[in-house]
Amino acid sequence: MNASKVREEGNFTEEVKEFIPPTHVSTDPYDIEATTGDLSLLPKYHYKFKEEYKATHVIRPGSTDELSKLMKKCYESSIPMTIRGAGSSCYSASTPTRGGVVIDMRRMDKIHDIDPKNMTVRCDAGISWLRLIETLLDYGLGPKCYPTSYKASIVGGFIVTSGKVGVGVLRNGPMKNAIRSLVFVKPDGSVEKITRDSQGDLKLNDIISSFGILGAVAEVEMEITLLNKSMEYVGYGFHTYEMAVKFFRTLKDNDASKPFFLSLSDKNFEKYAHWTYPARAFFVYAVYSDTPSVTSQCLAFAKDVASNLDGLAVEGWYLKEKWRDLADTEVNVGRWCQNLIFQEYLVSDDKLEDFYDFYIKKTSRQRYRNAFYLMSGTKGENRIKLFGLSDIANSREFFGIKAVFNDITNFNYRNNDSLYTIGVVNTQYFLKYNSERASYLRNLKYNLDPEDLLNSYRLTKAKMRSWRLGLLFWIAKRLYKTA
Amino acid sequence: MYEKETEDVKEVVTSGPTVSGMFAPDQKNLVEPDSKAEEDYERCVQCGYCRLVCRVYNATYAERDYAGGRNRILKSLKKRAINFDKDQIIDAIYQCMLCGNCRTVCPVGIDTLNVFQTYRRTAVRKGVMPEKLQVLKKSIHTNKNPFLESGTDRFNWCETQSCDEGHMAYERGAEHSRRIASGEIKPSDIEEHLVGYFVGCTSAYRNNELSSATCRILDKMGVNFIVFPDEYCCGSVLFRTGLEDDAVQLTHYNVDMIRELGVKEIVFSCAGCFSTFTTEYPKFIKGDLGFEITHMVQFVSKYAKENGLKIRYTKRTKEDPLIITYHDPCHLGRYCGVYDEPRELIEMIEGVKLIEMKHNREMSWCCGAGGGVRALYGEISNDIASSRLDETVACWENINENRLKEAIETDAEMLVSACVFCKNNLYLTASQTKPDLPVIDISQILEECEFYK
Repeated sequence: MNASKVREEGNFTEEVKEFIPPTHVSTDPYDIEATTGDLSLLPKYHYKFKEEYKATHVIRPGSTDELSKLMKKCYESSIPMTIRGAGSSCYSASTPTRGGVVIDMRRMDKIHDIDPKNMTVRCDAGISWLRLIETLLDYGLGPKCYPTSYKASIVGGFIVTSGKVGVGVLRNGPMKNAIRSLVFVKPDGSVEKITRDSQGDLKLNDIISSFGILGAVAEVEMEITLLNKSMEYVGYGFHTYEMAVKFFRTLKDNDASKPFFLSLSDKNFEKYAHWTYPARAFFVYAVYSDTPSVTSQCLAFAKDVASNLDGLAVEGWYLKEKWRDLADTEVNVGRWCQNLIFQEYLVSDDKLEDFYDFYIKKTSRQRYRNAFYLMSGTKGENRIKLFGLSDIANSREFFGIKAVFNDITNFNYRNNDSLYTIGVVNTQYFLKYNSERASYLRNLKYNLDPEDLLNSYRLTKAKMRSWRLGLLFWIAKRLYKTA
Repeated sequence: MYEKETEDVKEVVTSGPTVSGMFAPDQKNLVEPDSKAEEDYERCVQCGYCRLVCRVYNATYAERDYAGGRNRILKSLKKRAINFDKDQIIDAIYQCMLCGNCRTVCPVGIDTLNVFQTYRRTAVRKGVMPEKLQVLKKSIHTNKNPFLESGTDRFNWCETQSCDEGHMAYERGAEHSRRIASGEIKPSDIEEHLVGYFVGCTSAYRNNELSSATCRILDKMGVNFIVFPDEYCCGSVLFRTGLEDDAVQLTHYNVDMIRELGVKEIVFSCAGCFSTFTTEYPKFIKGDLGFEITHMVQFVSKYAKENGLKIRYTKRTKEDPLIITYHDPCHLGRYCGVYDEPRELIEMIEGVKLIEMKHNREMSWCCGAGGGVRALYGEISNDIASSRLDETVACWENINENRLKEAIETDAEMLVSACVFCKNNLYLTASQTKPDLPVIDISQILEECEFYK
């Protein structure tokens, strides 16, 4: 079923307007065009991987009830649906693959309840992290964890894209630990409250990392935390990756107090992301949030470890500015090129050196500008974000860089790690290397959404054949290298 | 447990970024906005920060209505991935106040104001023309004001407001023009620091309380000033709505008219006129304008300081001050960088106390009137004004709470701005939704002040 289905359903628009305010049922071609894109700034030819990348409607429900009625209507009319959050993830995941309706979640942005006694907040899933953080801040409270993209992203997006790595995760655990319950709307429009102990067909773990294929998160009840009184910053430069990783791992494994945020970046990343940057090739950055006595102990501990590893302390003002600009750093890399390409990997602690060696092997002879950024997740897991700075007009370079990422992705999966985010094309890797999980999700998906109407062609079914993808990258590598 | 935690909460300092970042005022853009790059939308990285601050998006939730979404449309238009439909594209072009908050937070420094104003100009040249703009254009062409009023009635307010000070300034202006025209005096011969008050169309035809207040203030301060009997519309509304081609003529006319009179300094009570003279006129006038430009909030504090004048609000005392909150007009703040002067001025007034709203200065929320939104999309404009008023009330609720704790009686509180459009839009919305909330222009407070040595 594709976009033409909606056109055939002549009364669809009017019927939806009966339960959603007409101004939020848009068929404006310019609104639709603006909604056909995300942070990745993909060139239009990338959308050819989709059956139909443009929606016929952009509809913005304002409550769980409106969302439920809308999904029911689409389901009964066999109209494809794409759940769109802030579009801050990547590779066209928040835009349609089969046309139909884009369900824009951001009108669902209310905070229903802040309960300081039980330390919980209940809010709509479409609320931006920034607004939630700002509101909690007024009460001296904060989320237990949140993504580094908090200035733009929404709460629901972080939940369904795993929420394993971000600010506060190492110290307080991943997003799934913070969730008490979710109000979840299934593809047929039925609403279910899912708690940590739910024993029905759908469990909390099924929804986390489901990338929206099983339904839409409408409301979230999550644990929050008191803001600590002391915040201290640690930053050391290192000549080699090995030394930097040792330092990174030591801070990560220090059980006395885990950093609130911990990262390791290469010089290119720092250079592209800030006004100025540390002198050495690698930079490890940690932020501690605790009582004053604990944070000062952490500073002393870090200093001790760094001196044994020949670390060079970076000036305090830089560390403070980096924290202030944390959300901007990944975005800032984009100002250096017309088309920033990136890939995010989930890499376990003991594979960090292997991963980096392979990355260097693959990129050392490439001509494109690149950058490396590693962020700590929960114990044992990390997110590595690789950047390729490309010119949008140069499709050969674009696919050349993607081909390098493809090699690294295959390497990482063979090393028993995975991708951090799964887009439309990336689904191919998931099917190839995570067949067990894919099969489990497929069964769930089939029961809930037999026509694959919701966020189609993701995780359980790929649009593009594996051999075609392989061939494309094989050609791209050769063309790019010989150019 | 709970009590202890609550105690801890109180001790937390929440003014700093305990959680990372926010939109910190001291945050620097990595690239400074380039006002000459009219196709700068190409550099948009789709970070979505502009969405967070966009008041229109906050009202409509439409992806096409904030800068990032609009940049996406512009890119697609340039690549001809979508068609330019002059009827359908109107909302995507005009549903924006050009408030400039997106420019403030853009991490790559895109001058969104310049990009979108250019976008409007291009669209108009391609035939886009909302009906209301057609009327406005015709009125300015014929009457030299956007209100379909006769040009000869421009100074009727002197009479209707019984403003002798305005009337005398008009007489002085007319006499001065006559003497220049007859060759009795030459502009180059004028040595005195003659000040001219550029009234502007809205104060002249709609908000006479501002023009009369301004004349009274200048008179009370002992300023040697005139008004311009031959003043035309500054062209602000034309520049903002893409009708730049029609505005250029006005630009030359007004500058030539002022230059010929040998006036050294122009004072504005209208933030729109002020920003148009400051940001648009220099693009079309070769060389120096030949006169200084100041808004009333700048002029009054500067003049008072230079002449050793003190200012006292006669209706209240130092001990029992009038508590006001100041709304930064986009045209004064983000367009021209005037943030400190109005605050300094309020600080100078004995009997008035300033309390800030949460969103102030560079991050101030727009009132919803600018860029043609009030005229073309009244409902959205009301929604935006309403959210600003909510913030005003919230700010006062906090103050009242604190004052009650201190057992101090509270009464008159006001929202004060320094822009006639902000005042109008906020006032109109307040009269419907918050009738107890007075919304006034700063000149109306100054009018009630005495200036003394």
